[in-house]
Amino acid sequence: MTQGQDSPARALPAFLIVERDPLPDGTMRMALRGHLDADGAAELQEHLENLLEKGVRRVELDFTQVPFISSSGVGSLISSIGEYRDDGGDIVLARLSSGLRGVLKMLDLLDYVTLSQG
Amino acid sequence: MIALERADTTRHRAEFVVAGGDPQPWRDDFARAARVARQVGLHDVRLHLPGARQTRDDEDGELSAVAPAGNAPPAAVDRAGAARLTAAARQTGATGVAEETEDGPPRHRWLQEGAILAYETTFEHAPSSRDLVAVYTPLMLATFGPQEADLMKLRVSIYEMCANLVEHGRPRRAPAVFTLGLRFLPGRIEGFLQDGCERFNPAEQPGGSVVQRAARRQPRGYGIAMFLQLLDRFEHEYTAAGNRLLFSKGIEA
Repeated sequence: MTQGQDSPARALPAFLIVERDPLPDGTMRMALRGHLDADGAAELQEHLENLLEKGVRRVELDFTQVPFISSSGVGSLISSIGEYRDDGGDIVLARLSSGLRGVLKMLDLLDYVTLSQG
Repeated sequence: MIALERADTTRHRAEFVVAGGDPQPWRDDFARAARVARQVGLHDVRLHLPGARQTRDDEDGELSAVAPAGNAPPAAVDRAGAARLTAAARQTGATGVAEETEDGPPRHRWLQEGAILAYETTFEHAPSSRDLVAVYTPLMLATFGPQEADLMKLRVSIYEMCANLVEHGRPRRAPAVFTLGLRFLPGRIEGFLQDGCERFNPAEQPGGSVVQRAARRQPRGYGIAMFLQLLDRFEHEYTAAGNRLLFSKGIEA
């Protein structure tokens, strides 16, 4: 499934969430595309909440095509990770660029988030 | 050295100009800038190349060009098919050239003084400018060539400062605009943000570190903490002109 909508008012490309086949252990995989700013963060958080309500407990987010993350993106991720952990699950961040990883490291968040080992 | 001349988000176009230096260094600069331009949705990436030979008019009325000997385009950019060289319709590459785009914001200009490149871009004081800041900032930074990690920290910091300014600043006069200045010095990047708003110092807002906020699972309020943690220096000045945020960050070569 692909989410995201082009808006003529936006200078940046639309943020997209692409669901991929789940892993054998039931982990839901999603590829993110575009800037994870306020608009993208709201969309992602809503999507993750919907999955949690449907019983999904573990999600892997692929950041390969996310060139930028704003404070809204960081905030929504942290909030969603907390909700999943409360329910015994987790959100795993995969394939972060060196730039994004560097930002999380500088913010001392690498110990808070779960990074994919793959 | 290359400089960002303009970014046109309507046409999805970024235009750079050779601002000086030997022919060889700009090839890597342009390849890097073209990659960043595509990340922000600008797929038509052009370089105004002094001395290029005009060959034909294309459908946009732009001049295509053949690079002069020794100025062949980067092969990687050519193969991607997303960048082209364009003959400059005017003299480029002169020291101290300043160029301004159309009348309305954003207004963008660059200035080269020897080995130092500086930009000033003025944006409308409006939420929609956050996107434009997110487009212009990495393009300007890419022309200086910081490492990926430094580039991202600066992108995030500048974006968050601008977003904070737009969200909390109360303009005192029309037109409501703010200006982002960047100056690329050896080993560091300095910058400023100047608005025409009532006094507001982001650093005085209640905060706490990003980790403290995360521990409290706060979904908002990370912006100020992020740029204070990511930058080497942040200062606030308030004058009759408005708020002036001064910042700098050291970068690896």
